Formats: sequence, C-alpha cells, structure tokens
Amino acid sequence: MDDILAKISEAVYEGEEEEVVRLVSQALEQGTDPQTIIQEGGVPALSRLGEDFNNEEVFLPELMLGGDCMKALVGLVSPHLGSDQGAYKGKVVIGTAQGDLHDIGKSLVATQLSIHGYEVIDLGTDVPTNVFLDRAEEEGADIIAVSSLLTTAQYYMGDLIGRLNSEGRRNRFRVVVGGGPVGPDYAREVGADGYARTAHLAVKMLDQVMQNEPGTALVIEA
Amino acid sequence: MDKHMKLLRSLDKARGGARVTEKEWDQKILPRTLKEVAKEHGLLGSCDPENPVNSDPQLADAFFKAGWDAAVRLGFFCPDTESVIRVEEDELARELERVPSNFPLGQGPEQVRVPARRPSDGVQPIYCSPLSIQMDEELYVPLVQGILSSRLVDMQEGPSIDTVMGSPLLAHTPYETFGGIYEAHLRKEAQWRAGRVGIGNSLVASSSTHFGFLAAFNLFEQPQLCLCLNPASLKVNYTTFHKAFVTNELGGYVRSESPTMVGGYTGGAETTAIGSIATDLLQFPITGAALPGSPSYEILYAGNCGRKGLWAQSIATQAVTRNTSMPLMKTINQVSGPFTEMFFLETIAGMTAASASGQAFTISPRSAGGSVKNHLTPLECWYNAAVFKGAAGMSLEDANTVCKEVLPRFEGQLFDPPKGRSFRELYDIRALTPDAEYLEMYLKMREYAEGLGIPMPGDGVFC
Repeated sequence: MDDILAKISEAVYEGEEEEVVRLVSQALEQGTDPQTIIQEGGVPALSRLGEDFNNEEVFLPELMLGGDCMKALVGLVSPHLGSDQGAYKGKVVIGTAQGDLHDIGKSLVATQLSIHGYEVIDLGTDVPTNVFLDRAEEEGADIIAVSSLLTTAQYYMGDLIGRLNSEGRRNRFRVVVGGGPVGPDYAREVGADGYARTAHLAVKMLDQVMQNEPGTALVIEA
Repeated sequence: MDKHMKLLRSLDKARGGARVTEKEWDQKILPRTLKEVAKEHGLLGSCDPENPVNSDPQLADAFFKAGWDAAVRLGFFCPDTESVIRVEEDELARELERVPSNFPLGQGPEQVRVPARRPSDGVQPIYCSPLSIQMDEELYVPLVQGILSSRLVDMQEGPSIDTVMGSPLLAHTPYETFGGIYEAHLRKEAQWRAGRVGIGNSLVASSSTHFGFLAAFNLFEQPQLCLCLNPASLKVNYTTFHKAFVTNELGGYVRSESPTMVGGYTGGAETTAIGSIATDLLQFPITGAALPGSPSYEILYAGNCGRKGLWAQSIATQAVTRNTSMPLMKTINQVSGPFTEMFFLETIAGMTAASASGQAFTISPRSAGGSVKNHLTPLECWYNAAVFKGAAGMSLEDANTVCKEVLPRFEGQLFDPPKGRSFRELYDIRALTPDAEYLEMYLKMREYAEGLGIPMPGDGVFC
C-alpha cells in the first residue's frame, strides 16, 4: 500500500494527471482509505512542490500541473469519503477583475490555494462582476477571490461587495482581494473579508478567513 | 499601408492558426519548448548569480541563437482567438532587417531620437519617466511638473490616476475613454508649467486597454509612443492590434511590452532569458513595434534588481543588442520606496546593468514596486536617469563589479522591502521642494554612485 501511495505522490509531483487517475483508481479498488490517499499520496507531493518552488527548483507551470493532479485525485476519492469528511478546506471562485488581463499573480494564488487544500474554480482574467457572482452561486463557493493589477479594475472589487450587500447576499460569500495596487486600506474601504500581499500569505489569510462568518471581519496578511 | 498590411497578416494568422488553449500554452507548450531549446543549445545551468552582469560575449550570442530558435518554434499566442501566430524563419530574418535603428519622438527642441545601442555603448540612452504609479489626481500636475523640471528626463509616460474629476476611472467603461482625454489635458498642463512643451509622450498611462488610448493619442502632435502592455511573454492580444493600427495611421511608434518572469511560465533564469529574447525578436514582425521590451522579473518578489533578475535581463539585452540593430527597452522594477537607501541601491544595480548591456530606452522608476499610491517624487526619477545615462560606455566587467558591490547591501530585504514615504510626506507640493533630509540622502547617494565609477550627470536643479 505504501508503494502505491509513493507512486501517487511521485505522479502528482511530476504533473502526470493520467497516471494519477490510474493509480488512484487502483488504490481505491485495493480498498485504500480515501483520506489516506489524499494525506499520504497527494499532500506530500504538493508540500514538496511548494518547497521546491520557493527554492526556485520548480516553476509556475509545474506548480499548476501539480495542482491540477491534486484536483483530479480529490475528484476521484471524494465520492468515497464519509459525509462528514470534506476533502477540501473550502471552495474558491477566483479571477482577475474586469478590464485587467494580468494573470500570473492570480494563477500563482490559485495554484497555492489548490495545493494547500482548497477547491479552486479559476475564472481567468477580465472577469465581469456578475460572472463572479453567478459562478460563485452556481458552484456553491465559500469564497470569491478577486485580483487586480490595475487601478482601473480594482474598483470592481468594491462594486462586487456592494452588489452582495444590496442584494442581501453578503452573508453567503467571503470576499478576499489582492494585487499590485490593492492594499490593506483598500480592502478595509471596500469591506473585504481578507487581503494578502503575496500568494504564500494568501493561504494563511484564507485559513483564517474561513474561521469567520462572511462580512464580519477583515483578515490582513501583509 | 505597408504597416497596416503587416498587422492584417498577423490578425489573419491569429484567426487561422492552430487552436491551443491558454492553459496548454502556459503549462506545457511554452515552458517545454523553452527548456528543449535551452538544452539543445547547452545553456541550462549557465546562470551565474555570483556575476549578475554577463561579460562573456560568446554566451550572449549563444543565447541569441537560442532565442531565435524559440521565436521560430513558438510564435505568439493570441488569447482572443486561442491560436498561435507563427513567423517563419526567413520572414523573421527579413523583418529584422527592416527594423528602424533609430526613430524620433516629440517635437521641436524637445524631440529626441531613440538610438539602437550595443553593450558598453558610449551613446547615451533615452530616459522616460515615470512608470504608471498611481497618484491622487490633484497631485498629477505638480508631480509631473517637478519631474520634468530636470533635463535628465527626455520623455513622459506616467503616473496614472484612478479618478477623473472625482469619479472612479473604471476599466472597460466610458470613464476610461474620458480618462484618456483627461490625462492628456493634465499632461499638457504639467508640460507647459515645466517649460517642456513638445516633449515626447508614451500614451496613455491611466488606461491599459485601448479605450483611453484611442481617445487620447490623436490629441498630441506626432510622433509619439504608443504604450502596449501584453499579458505575458510570447503573447499578443487584440488590444495591442487596436492601438497599433491607430498609431501607424497617425505616424507614431509602437512600444510593445510583454514581461517574462523567472519562476513563472518561462521557468528558470536561462529559459526566461530565452523567452525574453524570442519575445523581443517577434514584436516587430507581428505588431510592428519599433521599440520592443520584454523585461524579466523574479516572481518571488516581483522585481528585477536581485541577482537572477539582473542576470536574465542583462544577458537577454546583450543578446539582442549585439545581434540586431533594433533599439531595445526594458523596465527596471525596484521594490523599495522613496526615502529609503535601498531604493538608490536597487537603482544603481538595475540601471547600471541595463545601460552597460545596451538598452536604448527605459521607463522608470517603479518605486515601492508600483504598488503603494502616491509613493513617487521627482528625486527618484532623476536618480534613475543619472545612473542610466552615466553608465553609458561602461564595460560589462565594470558594471558587474558595481552590481556585486551594491547587491549585498540590499538583497536581504527584497522579500520585505521598505515602502518609504509618499510625495505629500517628502515634498512641499506648492513650492515643489523636497524635504531637507531627503535631499541630503539623494545628494549623498549621488556621491556614492560616483564613487563606484558612475559619472552622474547633474540634474540641473540641485546639482
């Protein structure tokens, strides 16, 4: 059993999604505990990827491929988990605000969240406010994460929270913000639930935000 | 019509090219191709962080060949059509023969010519300032007036504003269209106050989409520079084509910038340099850009004054400037802010490496990483200009020595840099004079740069 978990871990690290699917299916058929597959197969690979990324031994594409493998792994084992055993810490709908085409910072945050236990729905760049809201509703998301590198696009963060307030839905979603011109003061001004300066800090911030009810407190990791 | 035809051909290719998703491009096609090319040319492992400015011309030429191969194999990905615009090798060679080796910007006595430069070239490069750092709209005119009061500044790009007469400047809306017009009026006011009517402009700073640009570009007598920001290396989008058509018709010049990131999609320092070279080589054939610029940042701290950022950017610059006759621009991204010693040290490293490696043009500063509103004053701009111009003619070996001298003094702070102080905190805005303590630091850091062997030209205001 340890052997197959080691192989799963290696396949996640190498970003070989088809191999991950094959090995996880095999492990499930052999009766391996689903939580063990996640904790001893997927998680160590992602920790190693994160560490190697910080040491500049692997780069963003490898990190993203690893995140995709973990998503596939969790998708396969989820139906086998007990009803009280969530596979993810939370579900995040993430994107870059309307008018902004920058994607690297947002993708790095999405990947970091993905490899640290969040289910991430990446909407891409130039995402209109209504699309954030509609997709968050459709997906049953816990968190809406909005990034902007442009001052002209950051205003949509305030619009999004304003719309949630005016529609009486602020208690449905935690909203976190980030990106070049966005700082703690702006996050406070628009009434966000969280702000982080870097992708690494975003994980720490979101872990804390998930402890709070939406719209009740601001968590800052700067 | 010739320039328009080139753009039409590129658009046709974007519509008819093989379809790939952006995810495939980012995660597989781009990184794997760059790695293959680096391996084939024996360049993996050639980054030498202990010597951040390369002084081996053969290595620079080897990188050029690798960048050329990568350009031919990859082309540019167009996110609007999810397809690739490819350029055949003979077409690339033909197009690069046609790149203008210099071109004018601005009018009358303020006009400058952007020259192609080579490593250690004694010809002074052109300095444009500032980058699009966000400022309160009421600070725009005094700040720009202050910046342009030194003749070290040849052209204007930023700063950017986030409100127009108090209303939010929202992307993809008519606010943005008006934002372009409003910024143009503010520029003209500031340039007139500074006695710099006719100075060249890079347009527009407050709106990165085509809305603001289309509204403002024809409000200036040509030739001006059109600012095109593409989302990442080896990508081009419809916004750039919108702008390029108008620029061509009005008689301006396109500046097309696509950043590469060490640690990002392009991988490590060597593959990032190759990606940067490929991007710069493809700009003229695909977008007609007379001034390409693919800067290399380090993803872990979003700047390029650390060792790997300096190395990747300097070798990519040397590769292109040694082997083509195109003027090349790249930005220097400081992460520390005004009134910090670190800002001056980052500037010495970044600007010395850039100038000695053959850059023709730069736009700076990116004080406080460009992420803290109002953290910009004229003194940072003038210091950048003085180092960039003062280092013209410096040998690559000397530039490397300068970088090695200053790096240990700030590199430990790159991940948590001091943000410094704002324009309001550091300047008497009515009199346009700096705080005495800050002026003293500025003059002391000029002396420090001169002590390192950089002959700093005077700013004409304080020295």
